[in-house]
Amino acid sequence: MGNASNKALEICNSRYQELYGNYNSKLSKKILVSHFGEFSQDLVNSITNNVEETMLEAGDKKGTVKRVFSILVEGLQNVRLHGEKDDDNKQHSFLIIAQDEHEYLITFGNLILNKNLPAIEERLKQINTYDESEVKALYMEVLTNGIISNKGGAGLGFITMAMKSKNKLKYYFEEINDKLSCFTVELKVDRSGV
Amino acid sequence: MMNTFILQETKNTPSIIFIPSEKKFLIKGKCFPENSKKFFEPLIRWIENNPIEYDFNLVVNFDYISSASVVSFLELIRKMAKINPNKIEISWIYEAGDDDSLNIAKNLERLSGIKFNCTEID
Repeated sequence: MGNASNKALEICNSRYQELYGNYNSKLSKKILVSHFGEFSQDLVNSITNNVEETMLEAGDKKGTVKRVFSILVEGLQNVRLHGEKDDDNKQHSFLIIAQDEHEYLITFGNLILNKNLPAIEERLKQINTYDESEVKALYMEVLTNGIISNKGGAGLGFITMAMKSKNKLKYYFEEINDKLSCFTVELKVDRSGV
Repeated sequence: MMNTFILQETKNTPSIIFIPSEKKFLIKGKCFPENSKKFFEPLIRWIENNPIEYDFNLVVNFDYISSASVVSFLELIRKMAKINPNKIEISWIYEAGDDDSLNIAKNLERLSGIKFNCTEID
């Protein structure tokens, strides 16, 4: 907490604050969930269940609820498995879910190694240039080769998230030092969608 | 007495009930384990050690399945088909209107060669 010498924490946290403020004040959205720090599996379970219940109570369509649920599961799995740790062996990850009458914005943040950045950026760029059928084809291609890494990832996270979002992924990298960057990705789900 | 494999449902993992003596094979619930490979491993091992020697139907009702779990589930059913020389079919139960779930079933059917009978429920 508040360790000023920890640049990784500082940068991730200021990014989190900035996004929070942006959704809340500038865009006048309601913040449904926000968390900064580590994500245990228990926390993931409780967030996903709570959001599902809240959305159903708010009258969202089942399809919309399932899409948001899926983005949350995939995104938090990414954050948990791939979020790097700083020198104090801590993950500085975050989640913000913002909402208004038109859409849900789901934003994930975590530390990544700079050496992994080009591969992530390439995959995200690729997904964003594809139309829906091309994304589906890419999903089938990765599924066909079906390999689960030791960490438990299948390489389908961003692809699945893009399929559920039906919108382009917004992403952002901020360099912390020569080893680490803060990575943020935002997914949009339209409430009017099927 | 034949061996059984029974696992209780949790908030992020499905219940698994494999009782060969009753010809009951069921997987039901949300499926987003921390590590899908580790989650399905014991069941895969159990199937290797307890080959089912008759035609059977596996009932699957995932309220939700994560992308990594789809890959691990595919590995499971491929293994089942490989070990068991008999006919295996999968009854895939999904919520009405959940086209994503139906698409997952179609993809898995294509990749595994196992017949999927898909049923919508309300």
